[in-house]
Amino acid sequence: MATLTQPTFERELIPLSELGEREEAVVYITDLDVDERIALSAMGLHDEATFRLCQQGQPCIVQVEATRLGLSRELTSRILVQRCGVCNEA
Amino acid sequence: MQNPKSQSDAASSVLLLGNPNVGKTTLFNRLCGLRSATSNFPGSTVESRTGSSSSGTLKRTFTDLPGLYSLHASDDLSQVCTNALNGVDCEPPDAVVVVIDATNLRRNLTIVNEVLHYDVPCVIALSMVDIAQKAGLTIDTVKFGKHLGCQVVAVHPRTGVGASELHTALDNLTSTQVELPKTEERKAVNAWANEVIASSVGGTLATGTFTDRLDRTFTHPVLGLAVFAAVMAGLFWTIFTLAAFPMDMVDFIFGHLSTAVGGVLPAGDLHDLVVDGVIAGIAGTVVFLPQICLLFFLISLLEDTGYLARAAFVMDRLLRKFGLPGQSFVPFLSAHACAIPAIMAARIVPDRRDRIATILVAPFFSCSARLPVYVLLISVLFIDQPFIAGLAFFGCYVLGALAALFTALLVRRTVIPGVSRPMMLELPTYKWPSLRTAVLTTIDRAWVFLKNAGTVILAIVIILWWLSAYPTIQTPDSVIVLREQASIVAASDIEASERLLNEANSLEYTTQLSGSYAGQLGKFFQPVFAPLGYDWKLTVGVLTSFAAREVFVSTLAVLTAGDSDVDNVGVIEKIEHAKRDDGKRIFNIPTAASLLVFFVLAMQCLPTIAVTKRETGSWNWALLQLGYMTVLAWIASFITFTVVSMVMS
Repeated sequence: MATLTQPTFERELIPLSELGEREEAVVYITDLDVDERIALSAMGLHDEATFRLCQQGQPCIVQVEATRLGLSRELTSRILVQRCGVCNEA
Repeated sequence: MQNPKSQSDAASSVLLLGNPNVGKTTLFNRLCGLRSATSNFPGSTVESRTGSSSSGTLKRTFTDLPGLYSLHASDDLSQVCTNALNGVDCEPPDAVVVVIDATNLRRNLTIVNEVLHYDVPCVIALSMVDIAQKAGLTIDTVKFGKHLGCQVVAVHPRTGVGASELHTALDNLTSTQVELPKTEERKAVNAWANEVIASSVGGTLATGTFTDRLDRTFTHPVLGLAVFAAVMAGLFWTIFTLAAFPMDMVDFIFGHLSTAVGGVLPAGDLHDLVVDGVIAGIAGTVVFLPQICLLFFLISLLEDTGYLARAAFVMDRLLRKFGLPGQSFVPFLSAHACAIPAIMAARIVPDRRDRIATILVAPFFSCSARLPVYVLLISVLFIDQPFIAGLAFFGCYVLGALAALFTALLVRRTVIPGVSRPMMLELPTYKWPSLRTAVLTTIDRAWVFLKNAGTVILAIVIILWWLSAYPTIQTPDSVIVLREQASIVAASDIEASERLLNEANSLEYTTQLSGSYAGQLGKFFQPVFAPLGYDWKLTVGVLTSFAAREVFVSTLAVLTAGDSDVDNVGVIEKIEHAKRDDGKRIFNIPTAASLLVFFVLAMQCLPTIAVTKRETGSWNWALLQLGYMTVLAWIASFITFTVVSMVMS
């Protein structure tokens, strides 16, 4: 069965647009309007969801589990995330 | 809370529900094959497919609900799905199959939890298990099912593996009571999903770099655009090249059918109605069925590969400059098949102002109903020049797209000021397209097209035939003289006799048509279209095509049915060689070019206007769309006719 290792996350919040490619992070969504937040949540990118950044830029591509989401640059600058310390050290 | 039911029975009416891109429709196609029909949900414009599948002696009905992420969203899709689950405006279902993606369990469990709160027996169809296994996950379906309180069946929609097990599960519905989190408590749902996954899923999901590389290429500012241009050019080239032979075949078959039926029926109104009205009219539309089938087939293949979502991002860079979001690309692509599903697909555009802008410009993109007219006019303009004809065809699409973009820019600076909302879109997994799904989609769409041809278009061509056949005009003396001359020379010179008879028939036909109701109507409105180079026959064609564009070719087929010096030629050839009252060809180059531009830009589709009204909630937007597109089409056609005439003189 799956081993649930609890990843540690850095305290500092950074915009998703500043995260490095292949880095993992956890979402701390903010500064999005209600509709945007609901839509992102429904697609799996909800508060506290862990994801991997596949591609930075326009579009920014993130992967939550096996779901890949394409996000416009305007959105990524308004989504705040915390880097996943343990995963990114590995 | 606990899920409410605990029962055991066989289900005959089953709903298929799930997130987008989980293989739900592929599973539906696998289960029902050709035994399905497309319709709208009661009181909505949301499309559904219902089909049947047999399990032993039980005939089971499946309804493929639209893909959605949550039943609690405030959109039409959620409303339609909850109505279907509750049996509102329809029979209550015996069971619901929730199709979930094994590689995205956490997200998919959200909708599973929502469905489990309904009083409907549930079976989980776990798709993409093979991909999950390749990515390093193992799923214990028995433990998974125990946590959910229902049966879980692993399925492979493309190969049909698991279909019989799904039927078995539906034959013996079982469920147990389990504790479920409240659907509105996001954290509780996440914790529950984590618990279910932790206890029944093993391994860690490996992520591929190959997909990363493909995404990088397909969404690259330059490479992505080049790939997009190549894909679109290949799409249209394939349609034109491959459709030519079956189109000739259809044309040939209808030509001979017309001759055969015409030979059997005695001369008179019934003969004329069947041969010149029904057969000629239907042939004028059905001849383009191969192209329409190919378009739907290729779009379905392309969609299945996962490329289209990436293309939407490529287009986002362009569309945002014109005040539209990248999501508009999806309705715009659908618009190449038909504006109606495109306008309905605009619901994926989240912002209302963006959505209205998308709806207003979507009909500019060349739909399949325009294909017959493009083919006819381009074949007139570029005889035996297939390469240039292909470029011209591509040019029609480009002109439509440019008109759409600049109109969007105008709209966003005037009636709907503002900028579009930023884009977010799920990028489906890359995979080989399913031929079976593409073929079934094509058959489904072709059937809808043929039903349209057999009902609306048939009705219009019969009315047109009546308008062109009545009132009956007395045979002119000149015709009687020509026929007498033909019978005199018949004994010595058969060829001359036939020539005189053809001339007499053509003259009689032209006289009848000119004096008919259709002729009177065309002549009344002809001054409006005269600056564009249209005679009264073309005017009738243009006017009737405001009901539906594809009627144009059928109208001309009816109006020019007897207007040819040559017998036994195909319907397209007859139209191409049709003559004006002064004996000149209807389709000279300036007129054909002007008409081509008119059809690219004009809003000629009553059902589209009705759908625009329904989707925008206002006649104002529908009438603005109709008025703007018609005026723009007239002006652009006038400029085209004037310029081409000057160049050719």
